[in-house]
Amino acid sequence: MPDVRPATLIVLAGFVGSLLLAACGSGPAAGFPEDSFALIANRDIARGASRVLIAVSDADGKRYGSPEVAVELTATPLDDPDRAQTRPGVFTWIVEDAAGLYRAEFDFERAGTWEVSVRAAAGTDPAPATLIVYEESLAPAVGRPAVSVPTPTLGEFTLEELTTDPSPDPAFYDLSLDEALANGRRTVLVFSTPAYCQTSACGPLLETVKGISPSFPEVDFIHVEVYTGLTEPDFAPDAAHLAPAAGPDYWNLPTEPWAFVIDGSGVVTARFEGVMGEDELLDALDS
Amino acid sequence: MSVRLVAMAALVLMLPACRGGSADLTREEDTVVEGTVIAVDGTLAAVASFTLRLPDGRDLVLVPAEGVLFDGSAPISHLQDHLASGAPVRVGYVVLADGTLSAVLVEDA
Repeated sequence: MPDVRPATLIVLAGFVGSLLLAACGSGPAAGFPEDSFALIANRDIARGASRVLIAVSDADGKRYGSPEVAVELTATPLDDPDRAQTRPGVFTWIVEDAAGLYRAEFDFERAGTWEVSVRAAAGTDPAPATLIVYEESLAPAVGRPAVSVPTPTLGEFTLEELTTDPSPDPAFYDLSLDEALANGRRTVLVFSTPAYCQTSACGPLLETVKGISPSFPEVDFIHVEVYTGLTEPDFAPDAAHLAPAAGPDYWNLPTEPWAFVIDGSGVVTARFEGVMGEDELLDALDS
Repeated sequence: MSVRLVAMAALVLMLPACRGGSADLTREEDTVVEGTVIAVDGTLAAVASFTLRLPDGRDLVLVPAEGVLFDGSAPISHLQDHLASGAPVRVGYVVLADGTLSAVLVEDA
């Protein structure tokens, strides 16, 4: 057997590993498989500037994409294909190295049915997704006044009554939303129900907000649990226990979780449905 | 077979009796499916319907039965989370007389 130096073995192993990665189809150059399709992962999309979350999946539920797979996202109104818009997709992991989404902001000129396609530099394009763009959003849109409503606080309730967060930050329950909107400071408002989304897409949103809050002492941070009556014996996370602030009379949320950034005059300046990258929130707070 | 599936089967058998014995739903041979959530329609208060893509490529539009919770304890709107993450779900359903697929069990697959 010839004398092979350890360094040579390491180089050979790396080369073989690269070949295996490429063969497995998970490398950056692999793009997307032939049976993949795009799907829209958020709901409240309306005429005007709207953030769209797009996943690439196959029928087995396997998700594709990563920060290394650069894509272009194109939104096309079905009744006027000449008005297509193309944006670079920004990737956000939901489960690190396992599943994530691309996002982009489009300026939807009209309500109606649009098609969103995903194009990578290599590989097959996934089947496009159909997107319904509504005339008006359900939850307050960027540029609209935040809805002033009292929200429960530690003055009236215990933490156990206020939140399902297993590690709550009490500061997030000091101030009622109506008070925050009247004090001239900026507010980050989170609607979520952490107990029901600890390990998946929705769980990280509140954690992300809690993580950056110490860096912004000039901003009020408020978490509103989506359900009330948490400590009641007959509690169930159903319509009967929906928190008034989240419901149709006030913030009218179609889904959860959400994070809203509100300026000192009470106007929504950014909003994030479902999945939010820390970079997005920092950009919203720094702008 | 999980306890929930047994409970669902019992529910399927009991429903006609609860409705005065009328044959307004029928039991299909395959009432439990696994797939990927590709659309959710409705609000936080009520999910009107959701679409499941099966491994064979078929899409099923299902309507959650009244009062059904995700995994028996989480809000049914948690389906939106599965839409985002791609985590598969298991759905037990019955076919109502009008053809509606009524989801009586929804859980992590």
